[in-house]
Amino acid sequence: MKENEFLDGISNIEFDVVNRFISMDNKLQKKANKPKLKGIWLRFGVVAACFLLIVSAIIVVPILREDEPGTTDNPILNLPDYTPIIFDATVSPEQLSGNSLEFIVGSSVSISGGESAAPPAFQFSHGIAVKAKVVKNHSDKYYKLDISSEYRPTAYRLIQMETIEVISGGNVPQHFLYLIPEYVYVDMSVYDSLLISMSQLGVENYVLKNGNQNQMESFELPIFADYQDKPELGNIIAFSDGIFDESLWQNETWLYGYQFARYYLDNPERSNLVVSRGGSESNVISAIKNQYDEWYGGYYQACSVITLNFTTQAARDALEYVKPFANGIFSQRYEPYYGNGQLVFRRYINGCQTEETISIDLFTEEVTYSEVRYTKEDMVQMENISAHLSEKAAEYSEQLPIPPHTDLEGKELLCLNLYAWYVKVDDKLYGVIKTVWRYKESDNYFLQYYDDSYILYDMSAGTAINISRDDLVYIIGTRNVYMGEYGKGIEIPM
Amino acid sequence: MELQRKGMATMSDEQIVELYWQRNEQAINETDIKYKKFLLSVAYNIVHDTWDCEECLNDTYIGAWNTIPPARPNLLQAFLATIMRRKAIDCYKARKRQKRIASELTVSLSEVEDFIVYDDVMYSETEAKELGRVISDFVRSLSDRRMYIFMSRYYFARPIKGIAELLDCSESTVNKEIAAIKRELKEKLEKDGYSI
Repeated sequence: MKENEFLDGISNIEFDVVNRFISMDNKLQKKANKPKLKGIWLRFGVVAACFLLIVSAIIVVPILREDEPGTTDNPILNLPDYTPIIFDATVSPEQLSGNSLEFIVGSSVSISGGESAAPPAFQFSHGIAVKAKVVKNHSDKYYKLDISSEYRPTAYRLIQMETIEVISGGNVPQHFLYLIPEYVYVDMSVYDSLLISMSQLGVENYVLKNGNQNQMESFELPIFADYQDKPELGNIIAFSDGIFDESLWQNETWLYGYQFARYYLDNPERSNLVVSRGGSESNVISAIKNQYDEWYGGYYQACSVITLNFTTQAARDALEYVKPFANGIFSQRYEPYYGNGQLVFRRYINGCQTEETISIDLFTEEVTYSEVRYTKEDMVQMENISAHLSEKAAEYSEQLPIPPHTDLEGKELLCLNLYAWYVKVDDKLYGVIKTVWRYKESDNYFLQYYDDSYILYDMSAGTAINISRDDLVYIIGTRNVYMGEYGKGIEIPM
Repeated sequence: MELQRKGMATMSDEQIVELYWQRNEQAINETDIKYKKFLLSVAYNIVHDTWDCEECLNDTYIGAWNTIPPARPNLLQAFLATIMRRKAIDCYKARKRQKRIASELTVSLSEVEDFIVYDDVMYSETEAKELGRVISDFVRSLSDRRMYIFMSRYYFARPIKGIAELLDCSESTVNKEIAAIKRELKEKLEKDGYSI
């Protein structure tokens, strides 16, 4: 192997690996820069759970959330009458051949697709690990909010789980929801128990779009997903009669990953798996704990599940503020790197995004409201632009629209998406519908073209006009507006 | 911006990416505030020249400006690091045509001399991508700790001492683990048909 070949091979390490490294590096750097844990304990005099590494500075006052009777049977709060649109003129993820490049187009590194996206991670990720069993598989497809940045929205499935034993983690609830990409979903209820390594995605009242019902749904139970929300399915190990059951990894959509696992299962002397053929559940749990010890030495501390139990009035008021309202909801996002770690809520009206956000610092409980806030009067005035979005989607289903600024010769359509959002400028309310085209050069996947068009709804004037980008920017500013040069190919890295 | 700035707190990645999408040049400033030091360290380990590092940094900012949008990276730091590293590697190659560079990358490459040879035989970009895929699979199969060591040493060319400090272990421990990783990588590459 030549030096440059090796160098370029290393340079072509795939992005999810770099992401995984950077995430871990941030945690280690943050830990290295923190005062000793003991000092923190002494300084604050608080005996509380401490999040590992990144979140080690966040001390919450956790109270184990007790699942109320009936909660687990009906964990979903249906929200009324929203019509969020997910329009995709291209193939759905399950129809893809498995080439991850088909799926990742520089827009969302968290998406990967096809069989090749399911390598077993082999090690349990640090974080929260439980022994659990499936209580219920939700049959509908779900989408995360704010998929506007995604080249192709990822459909998810939800599995309600019951915790049997906590291997690692504080405040782990007895019941929780596990979110898994649909293209790697498999019915796991046939197994007696599962060992799952996961990280928390949302606190209570997390909202997802239900793609089947075409409505928003809010979930009382906390939601978890695989480490970094990637389908590293080795982080799920199945057992039947207390013995490792390989059949889970042999399911159709995990086969690519299974070929790696099988090599180690066939060659246990070279294996770095926590499981082996015929291994008992108790041995695997011990192996996982040993693995944590190996990695973290004596200072490993389990991550705690975030529960919303703020002590300050301001934070409690903010939680009241972000509750679902007549024609909308607030999305939530956990920002571990911002300040001490924050929960950020964003207002959605009629299923469409607004610029209003509220953030709560998990350590200081300081609340920050965005400059723009929508009032109850605003809600009343709001025209439901998601209804217009539906009409547009139906229209495009009949006939694909022509991009206004792109010469189509020698280009192939990659995707066509529709988005809508609300804007408030100088107390005037607007809605915008945006159509986005993305093309690639026929013989060059990495040269892509971006085009868009806009419709502006002026709520006070009661008008809807097709509007040029320049005119739109003059009225509402540049948020969500592509300001690059039309018709010019953009080289996509990687 | 929607979120107020608190003291010298930096913007979140999402906010910075939003600025790029708005074609707001403040995006570059915010990127610089948040990631300049980190990015310079990425380049410095490879080229060992502050002037070259600054050039790579500027190229990285231009690269980010030209690719966001349409890209919308979830982890901006990793996205920028990838661009920065490529710029630094290009710079390293250009300079290496003239002379060997006494950088941490040179040292880390010398560690894998048992399976690389130095000549100028050309190979295709497709082959490099395929090799990248094979190495990616290998790295994915590593434990978190070993993944961290491998990427630190061979992707970011970090000094062993720094890796050991972050992992809170001795340099000899890291060296031992590197030896084990190298052995496994060699086996993996041979198994996948690479001549070593």
